[in-house]
Amino acid sequence: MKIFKSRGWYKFSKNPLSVIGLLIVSIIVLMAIFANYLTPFPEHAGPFVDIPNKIKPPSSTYFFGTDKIGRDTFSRIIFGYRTSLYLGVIVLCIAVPIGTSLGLVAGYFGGKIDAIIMRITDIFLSIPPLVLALSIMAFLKPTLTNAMIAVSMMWWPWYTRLIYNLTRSLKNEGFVISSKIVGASHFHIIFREILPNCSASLITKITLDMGFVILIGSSLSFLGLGVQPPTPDLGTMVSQGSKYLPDIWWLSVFPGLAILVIVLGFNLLGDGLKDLFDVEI
Amino acid sequence: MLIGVSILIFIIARIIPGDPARMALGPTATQEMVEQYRDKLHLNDPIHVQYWFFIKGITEGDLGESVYTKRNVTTDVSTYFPATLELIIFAALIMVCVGVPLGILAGRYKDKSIDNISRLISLLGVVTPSFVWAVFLMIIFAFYLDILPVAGRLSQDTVAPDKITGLIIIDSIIRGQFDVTIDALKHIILPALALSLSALGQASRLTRSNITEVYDKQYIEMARAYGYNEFKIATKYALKPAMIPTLTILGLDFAAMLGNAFLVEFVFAWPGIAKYGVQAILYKDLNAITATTMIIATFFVITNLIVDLVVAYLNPKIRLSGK
Amino acid sequence: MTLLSIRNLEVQFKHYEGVTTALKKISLDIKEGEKVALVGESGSGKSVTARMILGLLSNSNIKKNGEIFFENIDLLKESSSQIKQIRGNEISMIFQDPVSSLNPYFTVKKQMLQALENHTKDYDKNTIEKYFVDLLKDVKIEDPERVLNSYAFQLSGGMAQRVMISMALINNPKLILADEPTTALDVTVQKKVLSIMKDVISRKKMSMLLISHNLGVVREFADKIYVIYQGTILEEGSTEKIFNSPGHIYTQTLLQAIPKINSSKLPSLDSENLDYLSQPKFTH
Repeated sequence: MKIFKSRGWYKFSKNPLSVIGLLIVSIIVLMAIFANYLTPFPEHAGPFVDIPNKIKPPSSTYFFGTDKIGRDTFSRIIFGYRTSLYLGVIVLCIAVPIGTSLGLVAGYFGGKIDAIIMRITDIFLSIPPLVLALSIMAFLKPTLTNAMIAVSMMWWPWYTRLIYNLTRSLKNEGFVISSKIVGASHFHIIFREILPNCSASLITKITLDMGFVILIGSSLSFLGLGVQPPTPDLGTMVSQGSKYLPDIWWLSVFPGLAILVIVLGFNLLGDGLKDLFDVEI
Repeated sequence: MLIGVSILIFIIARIIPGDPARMALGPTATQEMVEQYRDKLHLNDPIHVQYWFFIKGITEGDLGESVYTKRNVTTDVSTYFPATLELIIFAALIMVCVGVPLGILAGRYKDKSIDNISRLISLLGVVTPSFVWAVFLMIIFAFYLDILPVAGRLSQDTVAPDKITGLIIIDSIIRGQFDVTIDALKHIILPALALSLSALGQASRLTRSNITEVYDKQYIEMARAYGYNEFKIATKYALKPAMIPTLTILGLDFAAMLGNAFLVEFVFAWPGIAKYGVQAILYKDLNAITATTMIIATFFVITNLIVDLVVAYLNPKIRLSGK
Repeated sequence: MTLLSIRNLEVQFKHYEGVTTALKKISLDIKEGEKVALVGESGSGKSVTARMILGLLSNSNIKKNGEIFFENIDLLKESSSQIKQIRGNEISMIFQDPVSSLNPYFTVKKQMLQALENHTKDYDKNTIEKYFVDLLKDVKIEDPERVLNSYAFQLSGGMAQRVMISMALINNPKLILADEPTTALDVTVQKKVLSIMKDVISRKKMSMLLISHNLGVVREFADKIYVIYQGTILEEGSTEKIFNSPGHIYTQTLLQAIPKINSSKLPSLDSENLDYLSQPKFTH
């Protein structure tokens, strides 16, 4: 618990919104990990049918009501968070290393490598995110894995650009030049000197991006291009629920709110980190 | 640039796994029929011959047939794209006319209540996907309050005016059919709002931070020292320097709306290229995908070009150093 | 005839940690045609004084006391619309960094025109450009037409400051406030700009309040000097008296701190060793 006494925490907690963001994210992550124990009806997340209890409005048993085949919306939302978080983590695990490495190399070595890498990056960046994701999905079968690949493919350029700009400005700092004088290898300079100085920006951006990856991911599954049923997914739930508006409103409203909450959480947390570390992204 | 794009699209389209001809004709077709169809689509010709037919098709306006709708793809696209375009333009107008002033007020009256309200709206706009907004708005305004229609571009019995631009609102104004205009406006407002909220949030935040930065600059203090009144500063003197960096991003947001339009169109049953495009993807409809992608790409190139030109014109540093 | 009279001006800034007193009851007089200098270190309150005259500091965090009389009107009690009429009109101001003081997105001509239009719409549109050209010639700008149509980033520091001086003159002010007008310029340019300023102001019989930390600059320019330290005026007198027989220890230290070619060390203005405020104030 020493972290709560540190100066960083003091500064961070001055903004109530940041703390709310942290709370939201922590609660959701914990719920998602321990979903099996925490949700009232964990079996509803898989193939499950309970016709007698279908289309029940929100009640004390079924907090968010049930769907057309009797599954509890609340439980499915918690499991849906699992899918969303899984997507976010995997996508960032792919996109961040690729994007960061490209940015470091381009920024550090300059010249032709710089030109080629940044040219490609710029092309990717000039196409709006969702459209790019859609066009990549156009050539792949709609599955969760492919959706993750598609989103990773469109995400790495943002990291390349961020790290590229940082590397370019750090390249001429005193500590880099003194490393060179001492004879450090390129590898050492890039990964042991420059990269650690990017960590604040990286952490902040990754936090904010978790929210946005989940947002894009839910948009893709809304269109039917992501996770396939019966795996619970927030976007798919909204899409299927929207057919039954307005009578069976709880099927689309609660998953929609769920998406809002998780993206909001990561956004508030990320903004709080941005203020704490005082970085620009 | 367009040529590069067209080559790229052409190559990618040809790489799609799955045989387009087979998909078009269905599993019951004989191999012979499939081969015939492949010939018709020039799929067995050498690649540069195929490209030649492709370019020829574009210049003649004939991009082949959609295997799904069995109609000329160009017709399909020109039927559906204007609907999407109208939606995007309307949403962009909302983004600029509401988002930017909101950002100016928030920056000008920093930390007062208008700032906090504006930041709240912006935040909610940015974190919520367009389709969720679409659902919420539909429930509140179309169902609960019942003041706006639920779906489509026009009511059941209203007929669209004969096509000039394909944008119903403009066409109906040109033809003086104002009752159609009102009907179309009622139909467009919810989807456009849902579409714009995310970009609106971003525009507002961006304007706010740019305006705050500008207000800290020395030339604003100087303006006050020379008797400029605050209104003049906010609407002209400080606004121009703040808007120029904002415009580039607004241009990108405008282009990004095309992606989100897909989501909103589904919820509101808007007859745009979203449904058409997604169908094309799911059915591997080669010609349709190609045509849709071409028009989307053209849209981007033109939008980026316009934004670059506008910024170059407004920013004297760029305008003068280029000469 | 006294043009500007500051009487017992006290200014306090409110912030979340408490209150800071920037000016502790200072008094200052400027006569018609007089060039007065207000000299002090950074943080002494000299810039605050200038800005209080024109009311440029945001009112929400400020507590003020005292009077600033300009032609028998107390500027501190005027409404903001009344003050606006004076700004750029009877009283003009020149700032420290000339290139930053001009809006980078508007031409010089546009900004000069606006400075004029803020106070009168009643001018002859045909001859107005010639008027601006003449003003620019007054400050020794050799290519006035080109400069009029330029943007801030196209001008050098010295050129921009001369543009600022001519802009200050547009509405024939009675008093010009200059906040460190030469600090941002190269040394050789400084001298030139100062002499232009002196020449123009003397010719047009205007008054000036020059704010600076540099006694060397002030010596060439001012008739009367006020020395300010941490919000209090420690010494005041004519330039000649201050330079020849400075009374207060602080003033003496400042004078010794002017780098001379043949001296070897600079004294320190260390406020921890010597409490300047406890020494008696001097009025020559």
